[in-house]
Formats: sequence, C-alpha cells, structure tokens
Amino acid sequence: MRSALVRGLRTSLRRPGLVFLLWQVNAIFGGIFAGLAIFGLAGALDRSWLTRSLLRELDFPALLAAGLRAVPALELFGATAAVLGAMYAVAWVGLHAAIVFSVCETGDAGVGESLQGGARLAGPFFRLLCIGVPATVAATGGVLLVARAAVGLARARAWEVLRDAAIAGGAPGALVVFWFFAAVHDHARIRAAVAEEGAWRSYWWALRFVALGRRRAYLLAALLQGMGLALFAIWALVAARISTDWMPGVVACLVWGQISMAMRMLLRVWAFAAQAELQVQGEPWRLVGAPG
Amino acid sequence: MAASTVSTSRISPMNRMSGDCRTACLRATLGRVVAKCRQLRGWRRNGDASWWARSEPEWQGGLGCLVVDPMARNAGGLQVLAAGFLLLAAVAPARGQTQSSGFPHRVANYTIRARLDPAAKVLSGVERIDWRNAGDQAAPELCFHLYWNAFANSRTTFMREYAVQRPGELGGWDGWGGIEITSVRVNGSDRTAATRPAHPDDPNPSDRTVVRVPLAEPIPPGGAADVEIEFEARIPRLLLRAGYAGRFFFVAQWYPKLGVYRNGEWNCHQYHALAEFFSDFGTYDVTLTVPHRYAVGATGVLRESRENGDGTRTLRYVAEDVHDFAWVADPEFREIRREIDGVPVVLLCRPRDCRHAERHLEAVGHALAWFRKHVAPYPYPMLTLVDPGWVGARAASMEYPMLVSLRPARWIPRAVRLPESTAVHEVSHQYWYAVVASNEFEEAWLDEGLSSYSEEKVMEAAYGARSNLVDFFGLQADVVALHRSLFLLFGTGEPIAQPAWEFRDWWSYIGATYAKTALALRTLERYAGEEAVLAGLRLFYARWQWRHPTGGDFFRAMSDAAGRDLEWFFEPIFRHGAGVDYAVTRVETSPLEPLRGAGAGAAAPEPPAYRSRVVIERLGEARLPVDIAVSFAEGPEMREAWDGQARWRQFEYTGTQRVHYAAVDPRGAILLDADPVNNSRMRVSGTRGLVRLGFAWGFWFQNLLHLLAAF
Repeated sequence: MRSALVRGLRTSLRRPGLVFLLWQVNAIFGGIFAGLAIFGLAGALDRSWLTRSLLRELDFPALLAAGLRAVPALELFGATAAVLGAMYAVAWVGLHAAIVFSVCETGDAGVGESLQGGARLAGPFFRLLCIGVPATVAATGGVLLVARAAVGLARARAWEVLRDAAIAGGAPGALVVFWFFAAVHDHARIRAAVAEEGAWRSYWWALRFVALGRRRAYLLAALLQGMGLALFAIWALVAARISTDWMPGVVACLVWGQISMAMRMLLRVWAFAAQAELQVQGEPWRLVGAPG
Repeated sequence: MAASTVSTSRISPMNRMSGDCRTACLRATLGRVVAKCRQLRGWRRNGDASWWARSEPEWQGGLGCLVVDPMARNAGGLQVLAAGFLLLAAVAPARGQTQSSGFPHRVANYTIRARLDPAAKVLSGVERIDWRNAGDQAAPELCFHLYWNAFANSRTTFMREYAVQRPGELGGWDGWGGIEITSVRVNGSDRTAATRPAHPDDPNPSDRTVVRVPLAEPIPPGGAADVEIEFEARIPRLLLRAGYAGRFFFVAQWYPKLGVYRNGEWNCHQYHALAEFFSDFGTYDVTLTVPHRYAVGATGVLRESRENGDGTRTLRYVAEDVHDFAWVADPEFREIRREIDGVPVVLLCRPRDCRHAERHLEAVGHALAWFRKHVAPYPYPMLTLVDPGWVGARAASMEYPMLVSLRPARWIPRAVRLPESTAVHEVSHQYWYAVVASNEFEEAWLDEGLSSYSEEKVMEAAYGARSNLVDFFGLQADVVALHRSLFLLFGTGEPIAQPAWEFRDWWSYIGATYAKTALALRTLERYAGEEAVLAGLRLFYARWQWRHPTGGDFFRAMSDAAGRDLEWFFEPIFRHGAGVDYAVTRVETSPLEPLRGAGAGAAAPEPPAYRSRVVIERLGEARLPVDIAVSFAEGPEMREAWDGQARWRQFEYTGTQRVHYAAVDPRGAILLDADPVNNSRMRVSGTRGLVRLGFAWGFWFQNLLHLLAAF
C-alpha cells in the first residue's frame, strides 16, 4: 500500500497539466455560480446600503429578508445551480476517464492525449456511474435509514443508549460505507479501462477486490479520502483567520481557497494513480488500446 | 450582621398584596439576609447540601410582609430598620393562621395524595381543595381542568389541533392517557353524579378536558368551598409537556385543577395544542408515593421522606404561593445541588447528561443575577431544574413554579448555546408566569414574550452581544438574530395579543408570541430608553406579583415607568398587529441649473451645484417616529427626524455635494421593521459587499461540486 501511495504521488506530480485542467473546470463552474450569486443578490438587495455593508458583516436576518422579498429570483437561482451541478457531473465523467487513462498509461500522456483517451472510455464510465450511484445511495442511505429507525425505536421505547449509539454511529457508519463504494467505483473504472470487461463485470471485480481487502484497497482509499477532509479542514482553519471585511482580505481568502482546491484536484489524480498502482501490483496489466 | 448587606431604603412592614406602589418583596433577597431569616423562622439547611427545608409544618407566613422600594436604593439608616424587622419576623406568631388569612392571593389551596404505579402507568390520587370565591359574584358551580383527557382519543381538541399544527409528529403515537374523577364532594355534598363535561371553546363532544360541577348551594363572594376529589389517571406516553418515556415520568397538569373564577364566570379553557395554563395561587401540600428506587423532583420544598417498607417511599412537598404543581420521577436521575446567587438549586439529570450540568447551572446563575439586579430577587425558597435528556425531549423547555425542564445539552456543541438560552428563558418564567401569573391561554405573549425579552438581555449580558447564541467556525448569531429571523419568517402579519389557539399555526404562534413581543420591547427601548423599559418591567413585577395581570396592566406599568403614555406604541403593535415598514424609495441627484434671467449675467461664476432628493415612505400601518441619515460624497452625515405619521416625506438638499446614500433607522433600532433591506438606498449601487458574498458562495459551490466529483 505504501509503495502504491508513493508511486501514485509521483505519477500525479508528473501530470500538472491535467491537475490544472481539473482545477480550471471546477473554477469556471464556481465563477459562474459566483456571478449568478452577485447578480441575484444585486437584484434582491436593489440599491440597499447592504450591498456595501455585507463586506463588513453578514446580517443574517437582513439577508433572510432579502431572500423573502425575492423568492422567484431565489428559485431561479436554485434551478440554475442545479443545472450547473448536473452539467458538472456529466463533465466529470469525461474528466475521470481522462484521469484514469492518463494514470494507467505507461508513458506520460499529455493533456490532449488524456482527453482523447478519456473520450473513448466515457461510455463504459457512464454505465459504471449508472451502477455505482444507485449502489452507493442504497448502501449509504440504508445505513442512515437504519440509524434513523433506531432513533425512532429508541424514542418509542425510551432506550436512550440506543439513541446515542444510533446518532454516534449513523453518520460515521454512512461515511465508512460511502468510502467503501467510492473505492469500489474507482477500482471498477480502472478495471474497465485496463481490461476488456463490461461495466457489470468490472464492478463485480472491484467489489470483490475491495471487499476482500486485496492489497488493502479500502484502507488506501479511506486514507486518500481522509487526506481530502484534512485538506478541507486546513483550508477552513486558515480561512477563518483571514479578515474579509476589506477587499485585500477577500482576495487573499479567494486565492487561498483556489490553492486549496487545486491541491484537492492533485489529490484526486493521486488517488486514481495510487489505486491503479495497487491493481498493477496485484495483477500486472497494461492499458487496453494503449501502445505497447 | 445580616442587615449590613441590605442597601435599600423605605422599608415598611405591610401586606404583600397591598402594592400598587413600586414595591418588591424581600423574602428571597440578598443571600445572607435570607439565610438569617430562614434560620430564625425555622428553616434549616439539609446537611451538606445547599438547599433549605422548613422544620415547622404549620408555618404559613414568611417574610411576606417585608416590602422595599427597589427604585430607591440610597440607603440611610436602613441597616437598623432591616435588623429590627428581621427580629420582628423571627418572633411574630405564625401558627394558627388559615391558609389564606393575610394572603388573599391564596385562592385555591391543594392537599393532594397520589401514588405512582410506573408499571401500569397509572396515577391514583385524592385531593382536597380549600377554595375561596375571590370574585364579586356567587359561584353556582365549580369548573375543573382535566388536562390529560386531551390524550384520551384522536378527536380531542388538543389532538385535532396538534395534528394540523405539527403534521407528521403524531405518526404512530398511541400512548393514550386520561383522567377520571371517581368521586367529588363539595362542602360534604356528593356531586359526582352532577359532574358533566363542558366545552367553552368549541362544541367538540370528544373533548373532556373541562368539567363543571354544579353546586347544591352557590358559593357567595368571599365564601369558601371544601372540595374532595378522588381521581385516577392513565399517564399518556410523552407527546407534549407531560407523560412518560420509558422509566422517565414528567407529571404535569396531572390532577383535577380549578379554573379561575372572576366577574361571575369561570375562566377555564379546554386544553389546546398551542395554549398553556391559567389558575389561581395557593399552597400545595402534595404527598407522593413512588417506587423506592425512583428519584423525584417537584415544585416546592421537600418536607418529609419516609420509606414504607413495601418497596415504595413517600415524599411530601409543600409549595406556597404557586399556581401549579409538577413533578418528575426517574430511577436514573442523580441530583446536583448548588447554591447559585443565594438560591438553592437542585439539578436532576441522568449520569450521561450530568456531564453537561455546568452549562445549565452557569446559565441559570446568569439569569438569577440579572433578575436580581434588574427586576427582583428570586421569589421562591428553591429552584429545581430537570434535564429530561433526549428520551424526554418532548417535555423539555417547560416552566412550572419552582421547577423548570431544560433543553438537553448532550450532542449540542458548546459553541451553540441553545441549552443555555433555554435555561435562561425558563428561569425568566419564574417571574413572568410563576409570580406574575398572566393568562397563558388568552395572552400567551405576556409571559412568553417577556421571558423572550429577558432571555435576550440575559444572554447579551452573559455571553456578549453578537455571538451569544452561536459562535461556530466563524458563524455568529445572537438570540436577537434568532428572534428577528423567526419574526420575519412567521410573525410579521400576526397580532401579538390574541388567544393562543387562534394563531394560524405553531410557527406563527412562535413568531408573534415569543419573537415579535421581544422585538417590540427592544424597539420600545429606542423610544423610551432601555432604562425605562427595564424600570417598566420592575414596576410591572412589583405591582402584579401573586396576581393575574392583563396586557392592559402591562401597558400601564410601562407607561407609568416611562413617565408618559405609551399607548400610541402598544395599541397598534400589540393589539392590532400593525406592520412596521419604513423604506427609502428614492435617492436622486440632478445638476442645479445655472441662474438664468434677471441678474444672470452679473452673477459671479459658481462651482457646480446639485439638487438632491430623498423620499422616505411608510409602507406599514404602524406610525413610529424614525431617524434618517443622509450621507453625501464628502462632508458629515446629516441626521433628520420624521414623526412617521404621513405616508411619505421628502427631503431636499442643494449644494456642491451629491447624496451618496440615505438610510431610515440607521442604527437598526426598529427591530420590528418587516423589511430591513429597503431601509437604505444608495444613489449608485455598490457592489463590494456583493462581490465578497458572491465569491464566498461561489467557493462553497466549488466545494459542493468537488464533493460530487469525489465519486
């Protein structure tokens, strides 16, 4: 697992162009949303002094009042955000394919080559998404539903210990299950890219690979996901100490946020590279269709 | 020694009820004085604990006749007077008084014996009521609340309203309960057969939460009735306020309870989902028999506790000058005892909840200190706090005389002070409900609103102004922000003063009764001053302690304290629900044309000048005077005043500077304003604040997308 982690990091660091592309796509979507937010807020607040005082303090009730007077605009805003999210999800099917193609490629594929290779993998990846999402939602939601039912039962029977256990265990349990299925999905995509297997066979293979603890697949995935959380926490801790009641502070916070986001994109590439390395260590292969 | 701690003046012995003057009882005043008095009058400390019990069962008096003027604190010769009085109080004969002689507010005195069967969820009891007709007309019948019959079936008024107001919460609930009077005798006459249900609020035959007992002989004004009732109650599973959850029993509204007889009629409403309670003061002498292993907390002071040898024990509580009696029992409860601000406090909690006890106790300490400073000392000999835990959360956040239930703190981060604010709110009810006993059915705002206002003030004093409720990862909010949000979402169109059951739904009740009332008093501070509002509260308390005030009494007290008539404020806001909304609708500037016509040629060249126009409109019905700030590109900000009577007012300025922005109520003092966004307007739209917020939201959206992409 350690060697997979180290080799995966080396692989990801050799692909700065791909990391930059991932960050750029994310930033563009974020920028569009920010523009919509500014536009929507400007409409809701009209020419209120709040349009300036929001720089210094966030008066939540005033913002609430602004929302109440602009409900249709808010609904439009929410719908636009949902469309943006859907577009992003579709775009990321292709980007994931490009990442997997790039890290599974024996040589250092450029961004263009990765995108082209990714385009060929987009179909199987989409089918895998159609399998992986329902499976993950069912499993994770199942854990949450069980926890909720336990809370309900605890309330009816006044078993406070059960309630505490359900609350304490529900969210972490769901996270563990989510990470498991995320690892399965990642390995299934890598498997689909390197072997000529259909989506179902790849998913089944990955499910067994992770569940049986081959090369500690789950631990590796959980470690990388945990690192993502840690990066987020570091961002939040630093950002909370930057004063945003003046423009330079706003800019500094923005830049720090984008640096943090770029690092998390690098982590995404690293995760795929490390997991691909894990599969290689277990079963040497080369990318189907890639030059030998 | 004790008197040296007193720093008030104008002490005069007089009856506790005589106060139409600004008086406050010193019975539970500064700790050492009280301690001395209690020792002199038969109170004793219980061993190592810091709570008090009386050693003389017949003792009925107390320091009720000691009255001070809290407004006059420039003491002079006071110590001598206080010491002399304490001596008098100690030796004055106290035995042999009837329950109500000397205490005309003690109208309904209850002696109850009850036995809890936790396995069968049954409570059986016998009560004896010494009732006096305090009205000015004869009473031909008695009227009782049987609150637990609200849980008897799915068609009671309570259950019907609850299903509408809190949809989804009833799903699967089947913990039916009820209470039945098996025998009732009045002055020796058996009236059981004559008892019949009554429906004063709606013609709902399925509701039996009120019964009337016609009398053989009407009770004349001032006359007394000796009522004996046997009853048996099935304890409901905890749905709201009272019932059981596992082995936890929150026993409130549990006995046949008299309504309030005034002006020839009974004020005795059915139990509604939104409404709370109303009843007369009295002395409660309650004897409870419970399984030995159950820990019990109750209204009042524990007088006796004895083991019965059959696996049960019997506890006797006595509470004076209360209008209700509630108790809790749970075998897991532990007791934490403290003396806080001179008040003996008992906190009942399960071990896993006791870890969070300090949060509650600290908040209670802040509340007691604030009330002692701004209103009056804590009025009872002790205070019992109950942390029902999450298993009993449906009984949380409730107030009873000398007993309050808290919001569980387990699972709530320290940075979120909801348990603290709840503790403060419920302690506030010991003043606005327990002592100043307004009608919670008909004027719920009077106790809930004043408690919410007090909660705001205590939380500000204790935890700071802007982040006293939430201070979590940069997200800050105070209780005022919570109240403003509730008001904006649910309370803007609701009159405050209306019967609780006439509100549209639960949230409009919360938005108007709690939030809007508190914000109205904060707004009043802007007109009358904070000190005047606090003085009004003091006066209201002093005038109406141990009595049943109405909203009008509160308004009069506030006006008297302020030294001017404030009806212009109370009438539209409280009684008519008039909306408050002032708006800056125009901020315009145009170049001033150079002088033309006669004298134009002779005039010296002038710098460019502008004519600016600011229009303020009153969009709501309420007419409040407002301040207006007008800012120019350079130079000082101008302040204008408008009486707010007309629909609109225009201000014009001519000069070399153009108006930058205008704001009505620039300090944000009118917290009742239904739309704070339109309170200000810039000539040219600013975007810097929007950029900050927009980019922040954009970044959070990026995070959300990244989370999506993690799969």
